[in-house]
Amino acid sequence: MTFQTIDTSLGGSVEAPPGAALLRRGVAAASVVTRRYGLLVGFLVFWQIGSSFGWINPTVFPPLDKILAATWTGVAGGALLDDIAISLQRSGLAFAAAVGLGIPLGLFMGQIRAVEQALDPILQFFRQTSALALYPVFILLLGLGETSKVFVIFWATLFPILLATIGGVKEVDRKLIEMATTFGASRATIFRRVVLPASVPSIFVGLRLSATTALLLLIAAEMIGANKGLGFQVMNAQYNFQIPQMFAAILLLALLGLSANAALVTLQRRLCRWADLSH
Amino acid sequence: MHIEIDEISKQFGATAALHPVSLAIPSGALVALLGPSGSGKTTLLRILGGLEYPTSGRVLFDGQDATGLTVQQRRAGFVFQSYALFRHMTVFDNIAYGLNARPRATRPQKAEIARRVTKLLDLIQLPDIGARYPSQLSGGQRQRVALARALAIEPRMLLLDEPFGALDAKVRKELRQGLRDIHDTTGLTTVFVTHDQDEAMELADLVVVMSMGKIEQIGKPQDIRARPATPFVRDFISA
Ligand SMILES: Nc1ncnc2c1ncn2[C@@H]1O[C@H](COP(=O)(O)OP(=O)(O)OP(=O)(O)O)[C@@H](O)[C@H]1O
Ligand SMILES: [Mg+2]
Repeated sequence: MTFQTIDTSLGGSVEAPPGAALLRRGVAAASVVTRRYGLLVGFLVFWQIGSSFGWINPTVFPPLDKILAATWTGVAGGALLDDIAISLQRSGLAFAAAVGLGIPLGLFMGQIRAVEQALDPILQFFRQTSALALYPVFILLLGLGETSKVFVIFWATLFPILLATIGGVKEVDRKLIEMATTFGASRATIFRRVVLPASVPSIFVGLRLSATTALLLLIAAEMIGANKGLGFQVMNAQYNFQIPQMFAAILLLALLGLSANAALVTLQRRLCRWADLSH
Repeated sequence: MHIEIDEISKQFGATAALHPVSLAIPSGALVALLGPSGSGKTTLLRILGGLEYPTSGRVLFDGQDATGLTVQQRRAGFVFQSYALFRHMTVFDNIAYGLNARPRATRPQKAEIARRVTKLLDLIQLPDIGARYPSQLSGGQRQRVALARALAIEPRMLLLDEPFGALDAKVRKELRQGLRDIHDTTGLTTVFVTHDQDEAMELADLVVVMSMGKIEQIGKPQDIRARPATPFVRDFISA
């Protein structure tokens, strides 16, 4: 597949002068970009024009240039930097703790059937209990400070990671493990060289789900009981009717989510090159 | 290596997968276990390889009792239809797997491993695919790599369970010849399971026809064709 693409592009550049080939490649790239982002750009253009000309209510949907200006002032002026930092700290801490506990525990539970069977009902029950519904309980236990906020995010992000890791380990083909044994591999070697790599794609599914959940819970927790953070700024700006500032905070939250996802996708690509090749 | 199966039986709970069966496999022979589904072929092969232990009876390797040997001690090379390659390893690493899995003391040097893998890639006539991943290979190529992986550990015998089962007819034919050639070059005692009588008759020196956990007949392909020992064998090979 890859080889063919390389072959055809080489063939093209031999026949035509290099300038033309470059141009052709540029046009091809442009058409890909159009197909992927055309609709989004159209939507943004419509927003900008519609808001400026008053087709849509500019007090609720201010023009994009105002939103971008508010974002720029907030970030460059430093007003929002504290909020970004604290939001990053809360979600980052919780996510790291969920990864640090969820992956090792999942690997362990997936390996040992008896443990998995005993704990599965509890896990299913906890998973179905909304973390947000438990937030008041965490506040009672841990107070209204940072700990309860980080904990509620941690709680919600732990389960996707844990369950995906257990699933990944359990789905490793038993035949592959048996075969590794025929080669005389020890349990530790089989774990390191067979079970772990085979579970990585599933673990990443859990990680990406958790990253999304982390952001969701971050915003909710900051809206409920905080005086700092991007989620708080969304609510606060709305109370004070600073609509461009509200959208600025929303935009920053979206960017946070996008960059977290992009980071995970990049890492996944590097770790499981083999899994991508099949499609 | 000469293999002797002496009154082996295997019971899975209430089902008898093998009634006592006996069979002598001469050193260097290429033997087919042929029979319909559920006749106990896989069970017998797994007992030979040490993946399953018999309920009664003995296995002898070169006259020595090997019944209690573990799968590692038996040093068999396995190619099973279900033993897929490791998807996360390149072809090279797949073939080298059995060598890399050894404890440091008995593991060959890196250069020696590379030399062996290269030689095996030549043997399976796919010299240039070492850097590829299994998902970039055809089904037939994958099974050839699986064969190379089994051979890499320099096994004492080769055990194959429907190695070409999932492949289309044309590729099967090619691989049959490939297996024959590799058998003739290495001289390894080889036992393969099939329910395809053409495959058994064309490829094997000795065909063992099984049915319902029993051996119906042992013989050269032409003898079995000419003189089926039981009505079952006659029906099975004329089907
Ligand atoms: N692990 C097991 N537990 C219980 N019964 C088993 C097990 N393995 C095999 N059997 C039974 O033993 C009998 C022989 O099975 P075996 O797998 O050896 O047949 P086979 O000749 O290889 O068949 P096939 O051509 O379908 O692979 C069957 O009745 C099967 O159901
Ligand atoms: Mg079978």
